[in-house]
Amino acid sequence: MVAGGGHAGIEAALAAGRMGARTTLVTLSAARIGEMSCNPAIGGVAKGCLVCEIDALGGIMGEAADASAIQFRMLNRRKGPAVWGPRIQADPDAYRRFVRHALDAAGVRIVEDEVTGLLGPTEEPSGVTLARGGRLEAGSVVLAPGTFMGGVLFRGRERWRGGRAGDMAADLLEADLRARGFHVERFKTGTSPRLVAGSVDLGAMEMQQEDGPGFHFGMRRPLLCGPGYRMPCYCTRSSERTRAAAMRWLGESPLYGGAIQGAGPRYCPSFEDKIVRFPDRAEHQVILEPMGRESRLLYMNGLSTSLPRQAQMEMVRSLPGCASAVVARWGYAVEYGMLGAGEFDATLASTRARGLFLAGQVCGTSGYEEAAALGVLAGRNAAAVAMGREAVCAAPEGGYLGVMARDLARGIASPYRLFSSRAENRLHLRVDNADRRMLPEAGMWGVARPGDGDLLRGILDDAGAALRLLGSARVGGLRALDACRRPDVDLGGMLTRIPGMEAVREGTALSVALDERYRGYADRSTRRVAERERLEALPLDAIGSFMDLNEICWEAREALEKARPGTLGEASRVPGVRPSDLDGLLLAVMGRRST
Amino acid sequence: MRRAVGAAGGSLEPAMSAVAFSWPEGRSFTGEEMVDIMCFGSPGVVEAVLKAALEEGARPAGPGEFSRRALASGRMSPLELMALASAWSPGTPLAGGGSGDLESEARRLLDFLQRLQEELEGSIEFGEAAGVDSMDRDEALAVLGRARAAAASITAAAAAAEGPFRVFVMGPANSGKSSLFNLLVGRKRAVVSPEPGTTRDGAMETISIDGIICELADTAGPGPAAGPDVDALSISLAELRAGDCILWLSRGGSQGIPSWACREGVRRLALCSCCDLSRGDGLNISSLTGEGIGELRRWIASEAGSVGAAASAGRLESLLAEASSFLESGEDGLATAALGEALALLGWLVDRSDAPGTALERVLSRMCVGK
Repeated sequence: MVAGGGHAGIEAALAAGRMGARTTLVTLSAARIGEMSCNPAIGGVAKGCLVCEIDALGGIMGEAADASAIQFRMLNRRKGPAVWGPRIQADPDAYRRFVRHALDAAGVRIVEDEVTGLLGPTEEPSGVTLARGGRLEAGSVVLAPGTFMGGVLFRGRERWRGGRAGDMAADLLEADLRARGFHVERFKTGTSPRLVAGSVDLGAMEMQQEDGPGFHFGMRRPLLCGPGYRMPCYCTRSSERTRAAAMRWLGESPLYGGAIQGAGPRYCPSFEDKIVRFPDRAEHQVILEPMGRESRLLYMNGLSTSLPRQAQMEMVRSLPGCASAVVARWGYAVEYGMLGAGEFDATLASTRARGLFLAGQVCGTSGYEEAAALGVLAGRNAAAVAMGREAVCAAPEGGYLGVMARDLARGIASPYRLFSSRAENRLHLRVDNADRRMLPEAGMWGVARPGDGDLLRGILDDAGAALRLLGSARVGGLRALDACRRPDVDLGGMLTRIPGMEAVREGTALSVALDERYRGYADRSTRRVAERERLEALPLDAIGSFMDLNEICWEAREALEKARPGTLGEASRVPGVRPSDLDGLLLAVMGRRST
Repeated sequence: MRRAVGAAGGSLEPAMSAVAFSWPEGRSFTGEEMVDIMCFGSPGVVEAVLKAALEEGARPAGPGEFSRRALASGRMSPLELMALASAWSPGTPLAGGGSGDLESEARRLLDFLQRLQEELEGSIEFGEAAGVDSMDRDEALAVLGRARAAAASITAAAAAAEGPFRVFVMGPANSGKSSLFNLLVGRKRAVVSPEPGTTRDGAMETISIDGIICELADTAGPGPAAGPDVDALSISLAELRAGDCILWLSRGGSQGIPSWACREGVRRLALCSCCDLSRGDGLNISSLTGEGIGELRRWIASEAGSVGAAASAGRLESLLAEASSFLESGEDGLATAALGEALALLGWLVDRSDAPGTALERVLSRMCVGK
């Protein structure tokens, strides 16, 4: 049973379905399943890679994005494939239709109702209670309420209950969890005003088109490439007038007036946040993103605000090209309940209630992609537990999903956005190898789609063939494999000149070449992480007295003898013990192999 | 103390007694709680004081112990320690108080590179999503160029202060020492022969491994007969000091490292050589097939980097050079990876962060007791 029809809930329901579980999705509004509540775009740096991981894990987000894309852009194209960020502008209606179709095709039962709490004892709930439908029994439950759990919306001095503009909130659920002893914290996020496209002078703005050759997130159905039309974005900039308008109304800001207590997203700040935090910056970029051909609305990326309507109007009208702009929907802030550190582990299982799993904003994330990836993991684990199998963790060294689940379980202070630098080994976590990284996981977890085994075998065969060819071919006097490591070599061009490579999938050949390019640094960072973890857990109980260890300096011997750490990790945190002493300890524990 | 010395000396006059100052924790040179004893310079008095202290459970300090303690308690950075060491070995660029400059130069470099790293990361994560890329690539490259020059001067100063990192290739006769030596040097220098005892006197070459400068010494194996072999080996052994490193070779790992080669502060690695013929339990290498050589090079580089400041600074230089070339060819992910490693090294040099490895045993072992 999945509570929530957002990006987390959708993937959770589908992943549970792929596991073979009968799945019910409860949502307040079936018509708004898969809604893009904020900006109409999917992907970006790290986020785009996450979408590829979701796709490899059998999820729907990648294909839905491909099918609804009205603009494909590869961010960081000039900064190297290790940090490429595929991103699309979506037609939100097309996205919603695609997702709804996928849910129906997978046989997910959709119930329009409000989840009001857990059913039965907290330690072992047997389902959920519903506002209209009474009780819903389930072997396990995924909570993915997004901003709806205890949601409160703010705009200037206006304040009303709701999960999103035009929708009601799930207040009873938050109250039930609090009553059961869950530590519910409050986070905050916000969204921008939407303009009527016809009211804006787009000619006065810089047009932003697709860049270069296309890509697709979906690895199985590369033919999906948008709803049949493309639309550009338009860039404009805030000016001193915009800033002045925002400053004038700052006293009525719910954020600065103190009405909002929850922590807001550091990396997706509201416009008023930006001018307060960066008073010296004269201008901020605002990008008008089309919300699809039929909607005729423009989303104002960069102008998220919860100031009163009058302020928003003044701010909007101060922008070049927006002198007579008409605001169709006003920006607002939303404060909502989430479960903080200690409430769930890296499998996304609740630490209080058996069979309860969490995904999306309730875990503290922000962003569609983050929510969807967590949804796959939570849905998979919920289905597994309901069928008497074990929950799994995603490995942080294997993908961004694992990085994120680990970080969230450790605890966060504000809405979590995924960055490539959150991974220790981002040179390995790339878009091009998401298939080789995550398809095996999908198989082991049991969430793979039919035919994925053959797909993976084909890719691995090709990767092996590409590696062999690179090992034997010579390019400009160098072994091709060594040429890959030279950053000035154009890998795509080199591959086309290697005889036999044409039989290998183009993407896989390039991916193998990139493995080689990044191998040195990627291996070193992998070794550092592995070493740290190995050291962490190594038991020291074989050591009688630390004073007898000739390998380490005597101050460390004294410090260790006093602290008597149980593992090497504990030893490393004893003051006065240096990394070299840890090497010595390691030697001693491993039976002094080198002496 | 007066009581103790009085008891030991028997007939000391009250006027001859020692004066003791106590230093609370955090205020002394080493940061530890300390007592400073001042007494008359007469050997009799000094001996009496020492004897009394030893009887109370004290023990004599080892070479460089005070500095070692200061380093361990975080009161000194490796660079400060080297500056101190250079005071003991006159004629180095660090001598005469110029050391503080090196330290602050390294700190400036650290700040500098940290800002650059932040800018690079920001440009990767946000640059294009926000529509504009604030990072100026040419400016970043210029910054890196200046950083490389600074790293080079740190390397030179540190190398002068601490001497080279030395690697001794040792092992029984005919265990493949010279073949390994030649392979690491990259050309034929030592005479190789299947006849045991061919290498009569040690060969010495300066090599670079991952940008780390090492002196590699080929030693003659302890042959069955006495004579030149043993002489050459004993010369090598006399040379051996803390901070050096021994590669002990034996065919298939048949012989462990003998106890005479195990000295305090000397790093050692037992290798199973000629693994194309017979394999052993440990790192198997073969100079013929090249097996295990990559791993061996990595080990040497990490040992050298963990011991010496000069080696670390040298590695720093080459990492910065790599970062530049990555940035030039539009591989920003690699550039930040190289910068990240450079920052870890530099952090260790100035701050004793937990980045690479050990302290400067070689510097310490050359220092006299005291400050």
